[in-house]
Parts: sequence; structure tokens; C-alpha cells
Amino acid sequence: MPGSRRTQLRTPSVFLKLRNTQLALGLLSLKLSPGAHEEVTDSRAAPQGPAGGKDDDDINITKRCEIGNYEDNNNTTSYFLHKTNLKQYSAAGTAQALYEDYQNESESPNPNRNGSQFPGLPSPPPHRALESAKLAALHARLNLSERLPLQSLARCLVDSTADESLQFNNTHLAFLGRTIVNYHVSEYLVAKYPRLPMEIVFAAMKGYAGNRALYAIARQWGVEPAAAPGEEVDPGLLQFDVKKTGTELDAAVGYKRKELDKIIKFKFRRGISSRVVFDDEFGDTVSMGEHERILERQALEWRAQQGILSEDEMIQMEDPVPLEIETAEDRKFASYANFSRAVVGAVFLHSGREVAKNFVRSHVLSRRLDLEEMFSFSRPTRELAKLCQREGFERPVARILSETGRLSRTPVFVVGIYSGRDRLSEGWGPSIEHARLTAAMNGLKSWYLYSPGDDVRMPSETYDENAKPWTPLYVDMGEVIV
Amino acid sequence: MEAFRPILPRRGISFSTTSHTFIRSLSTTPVLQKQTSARLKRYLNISPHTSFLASYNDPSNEQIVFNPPSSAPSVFNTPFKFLPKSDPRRRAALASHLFADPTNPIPRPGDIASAIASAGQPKRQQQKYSKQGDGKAEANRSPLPPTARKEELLVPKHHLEPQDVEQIRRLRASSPSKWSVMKLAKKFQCAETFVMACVQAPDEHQKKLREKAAKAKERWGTIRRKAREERSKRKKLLFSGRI
Repeated sequence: MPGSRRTQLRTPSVFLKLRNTQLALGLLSLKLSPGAHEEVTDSRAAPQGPAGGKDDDDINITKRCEIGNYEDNNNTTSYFLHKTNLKQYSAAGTAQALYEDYQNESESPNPNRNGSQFPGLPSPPPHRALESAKLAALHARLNLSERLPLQSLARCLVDSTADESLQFNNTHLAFLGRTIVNYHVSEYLVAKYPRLPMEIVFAAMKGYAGNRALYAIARQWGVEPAAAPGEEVDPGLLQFDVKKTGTELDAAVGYKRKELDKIIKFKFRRGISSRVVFDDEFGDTVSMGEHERILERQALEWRAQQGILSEDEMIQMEDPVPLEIETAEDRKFASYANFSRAVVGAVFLHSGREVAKNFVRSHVLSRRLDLEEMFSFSRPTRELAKLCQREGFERPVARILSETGRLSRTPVFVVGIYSGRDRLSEGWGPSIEHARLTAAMNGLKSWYLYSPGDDVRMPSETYDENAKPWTPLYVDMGEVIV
Repeated sequence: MEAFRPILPRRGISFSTTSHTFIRSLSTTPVLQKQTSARLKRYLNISPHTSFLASYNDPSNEQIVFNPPSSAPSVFNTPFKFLPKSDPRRRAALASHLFADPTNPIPRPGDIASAIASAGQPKRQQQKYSKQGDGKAEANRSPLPPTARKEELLVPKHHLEPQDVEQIRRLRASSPSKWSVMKLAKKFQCAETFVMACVQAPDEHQKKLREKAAKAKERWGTIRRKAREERSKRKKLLFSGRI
């Protein structure tokens, strides 16, 4: 996207991407004041910068976010906002502001924000959050701090498909939560398993913080969906509409590829390096929303009428790429996941960085993900030989450690891979070849799954006030190229 | 994993020494080792190890019995050689091995032995050492298990010169059917993969080979075809760690 700044966190290849201006935009619209509605109209609009905010605090927030430099490992407080800047989000103030916001909104000439033919608000008014037993139960079940008011939790439950208004849905909270969750998960993976191949890192990111994983977390929290969104539903229910496409700030993480159409149509190969640079944290392409695709299509038709089409565009006109529409199930997963993320965002805003980190650790990182199962190889013996060559070890040799029933119908062989006199790995199987390949794969896995220990220090731990000076982590030279 | 030991026929059974009968005795058909099943049961009923019989009340037997069931090693236990130089476990392993009691060696064969032998030596010397082998040191060490395949110990000799590679290419181009990959590998005493890396057969020859292979495939019956398909499926499952 032209004109927007993008910085990358450069601790040893932690690749969390965050567009600062978008974060600033999110925080601006999260400033829960009566005037907020006029300031921010659309999340996808070009960032206005500090001009939108009227008071100095806004400018401070924006500047801090823009200055926030991830390149500097030793800088401890540049990314996260200082506590003093978050004063205005105190609990009591928020409740009042939310209520005022609602009053302001309902007095506007068009009270029907959703644009639907039925009268009424698209989501329950914020003051009803205090009356909901479900919401109070959820708040207690998650052991959330009293500083996080029920109104904020109620807002986390309103998906962008239920209520389009950014002042009332969870879009910005979810975006903030997404950056925090993904930061901690990627930091954990890279620090704890420094030799993981990038493809496994992407898969593991998805396993910990992808839509399906966060859906499962939200389900385990006991969150139930509303039958249909509307003013009258209990604020303690998750409100989303599977028939609509969400307006998450997906595009704010990563870049839209120019050749996206061709990737979809011709299944273009995407290399790992380009996935690190262009795509989102899970290695998936940042897809354009349906709305944008329709606009592009209209623009193309207009250009065809004018007779100013290029050759590529002519081909595109003849054979248009089908619009990528989410399935109802995808939408369900995304809505639940956005709720989980929004809760993390709300915890961060109301209780601070440390509490949010502990929340992510205890709810997201505490889940067990079997990294060993994620590997698949095409030429394991060759890859292991290359690895030994690269590291200066002796050539790997497969040796039979033990066997039974060689002439029977069910033989078992145990083969060990040796480099010199050192045993690297062992594997078993019903034939020597099977056991040899298993042993080679186990050897590669034990190389890639090396961990400096369970108590490895994370870069985020240096944010503490009394933190010890940072000692560099082990950085591996990268996966073996066969 | 513990070594599996086949139960060989012992006493009280007629046993011929010819290899044919020996192989048959190793087959899956159950072999009755005693005259009656009751006797066999009694014969196989071995009393447990004395460490398990120790009474808990006896103060002289206060010890922990560690006898875990055999299991495949976890890939999360990084082998010594794979630990980076900065890892404290590396130093700890070396130290524990150096100060270990030499009369009671670690049962695992030479896990960190070569690391100690080569510690502090420059890389070039290490390679030389590993190739030639120190006679005295080798003699003292326990022998390594047998190799899984004959090819395992084949070390690339790097003996071919550029003119040899040129000749390989010339011969292959002159008559690809006469000078097959196998023949060239034998003539130049190198691996077949090396020949294939040097030169590719002309397109017509490749096409001819493909047609020949396709014809052979056509002759496969249902049983062989199914067996081949399942073999390739098994390999895919193996590589993705599902079997």
C-alpha cells in the first residue's frame, strides 16, 4: 500500500508485522469519547495522522506509534504505549464514554446504522451490558480484572458482520489483540525452537493463533452465538452474521500481492522468502475483500468501455477470477477468533502489557501443539547427509542396532544413524529401508527441534522495569537446502 | 530400544543342524519346546529379578529401582553432536564423560567419544584422523554395529578428472543403449548418480526407455499393480510421519 509506513520486528527473525499507522488509527477510534464518531469514519480509509484528533493526547499516541522502532532490540518501551497514555481508558470513564457514544449515535438522523429494512439498532446498546448475567459470568470465568468493564467485554462480542459501525464492533480491539497474540506466539516459537524451518513456523503460528485455534479457545470459554444479531439479543452472546463478509483489518498485516489473481487462478508458487515479506503472519496471502474486488471489476469494465485496456486486462476481462467469498463456516471461525483477539486487546488496553502477556501465555501458549507431527520430508537421507556436510560432521552411516524375525512375516528392525562414532538418531520399521528412512527423519527432527531450554528468555521480558540486560539468543543459520 | 532376542529351541526337542531346518524353526509357526504345555509354562515362568524382591522393610535395601520399559527415543532429546557450541549441556556432557569412572563405561557405544578425541584439534586434522584411524584407539573401542546396507560405507573417492567426465559424456552420447548409466558407473568406478549428474541421455533414447517401461507396466496384473500403488502410498505416508 503506497504511503503507509511498515516496520518489522527484527529480533532474530521474529516476523511480526504491524502497520503502525493502522494501530494508531485503531487506538484513535478506540478513544471512547462522544466525538469519536466524527473523527474516524472508515477503518480502510487512508490514515489521517494526528490531524484527526483534536487534543494533544491523540497526537502523542500517534507519534509514539509511528516512532516505535522495532529494529532496536535493547529498547524496551518503544513499541508498547506507556501506562500514562492509557489513563483515559480507565474503567469508569469508559463506561460513561460508551454510554455517551451510544446516546450521540442514537440522536443522529439515521438511527438505523446497519442499513437494514428492520428498525432498531444492529447490536445491543452498551448500557445493557450491566444487566446481562451471561456477560458477568464470562467476565468472572475468564478471571478478568475489575479494571476491564463489562461494556468493553460486550463490545468484544460484537463482530463486524453484526454491526458495521467501528465505534460499536470489535474490529479495532481484535486488530490490537491480533498483533499482541501473534507477537507473543512468534516470539515463543523463535526463541524456544531457533532451528525450526520457516514453513513449520508458519504452520505452528496457525496452530497456536490461527482462526481455528482461537475458535476452540473461545468455545472453551463457554461463549455461545446469538441466533441472529440485533438490538434485542443478550449482550453476553457472540453476535455475527454468517451471510456477510467481515471487514477485519487483514490488509493491515502484510502486503497485497500484485499477482494475487494469478496465484489464485494458476496456483503460482509462493516461495518462503516472499511469504515472509508479503504475506501475513501465517504465511497466507493477504486477500482482497469482496467489496474491493467488485470495485476493481467495475473499474476494469469502465476502462474497457473507454478502450484503454492493456493486454493483461483484456485477458482478465475475458476470464475473470471468481470472487473469493468466505464460507459460512469460515465466518464462524473468524468471528470467534476475532472475539478471542478482541479480549486480548481489551485486556491490554485496560490492564496493561504484562497482564496481556500473561493472558496470552495462559490461554494461547498453554495449549499443546505437537511440532514433531508437522514435519514431512521428501528426501530425508539426502537432507541429513547435506546437513552433516554443512556442519562438518562425518558422513552419516546407517547401522542395524537390533532386529527380530528377519525371516518372519512381521520383522522389526532398529536402525541407528551414526556420524563417526556418534549416534545421531534411531528409527524402527518392518524393513531395513523403512527403518533407515525413519531414522534419518528422526535425526533431522532432532536437529530442527533443538531447544535451548524451557526457561529460555523472551525478548518481551526485557520490557520489565528491573529487567537484566539482554543476552542474545541462539540464532541458527537456517534450514538445510536439498 | 532393547535388543530383541529370538527364542531359539533349547532342550528336549529334536533339532537338526541343516540350515533349512534352522530357518524353518525361526518361522512364525509356534514351536513346542516341551512335551506338554504345562511343562513349557513352568519352564518359562522365571522368577523376577532380585532387585524387585527386596523387601521394603529392610533398611539395607533402600534404593530406587529404575527399570523403565523400552521405548523409542524422543526427537526432543538433541543428540550431543547437534548441540551448538554455546549450549551448556555440551560442556556438562563432556565433563561428566571425562570424569566418569573408566572401569564402568557408559553403555551407549561412543556417543561423545569422537567429540572428546577430536576436541581441540583443527578441522583438517580431524578429518585425517577419522579417515585413517588411530590403531591403538580403535582397538580399545567397542566395535560399531553392522551397517544397514553395503553402500553405506562407500565414500566418494573424487578420483575422476575433467577429461574423464568428458569421456563419460562422449561415450553416452555416442551410443546411449550400449553405454548405459550402469555400465559407465562400473567402468569409471563411480556412483550411478554421478554419471546421471554428468550427462543426460538424448531425448529419443529417454522416450524409448519410457515407452519400454510403459509397455512393461501394461503387462502388470491386478495384484502387482495394486502392490506397486500401495508401496508408493506407503512411502508418502512414511515421509509425512503417518506410519
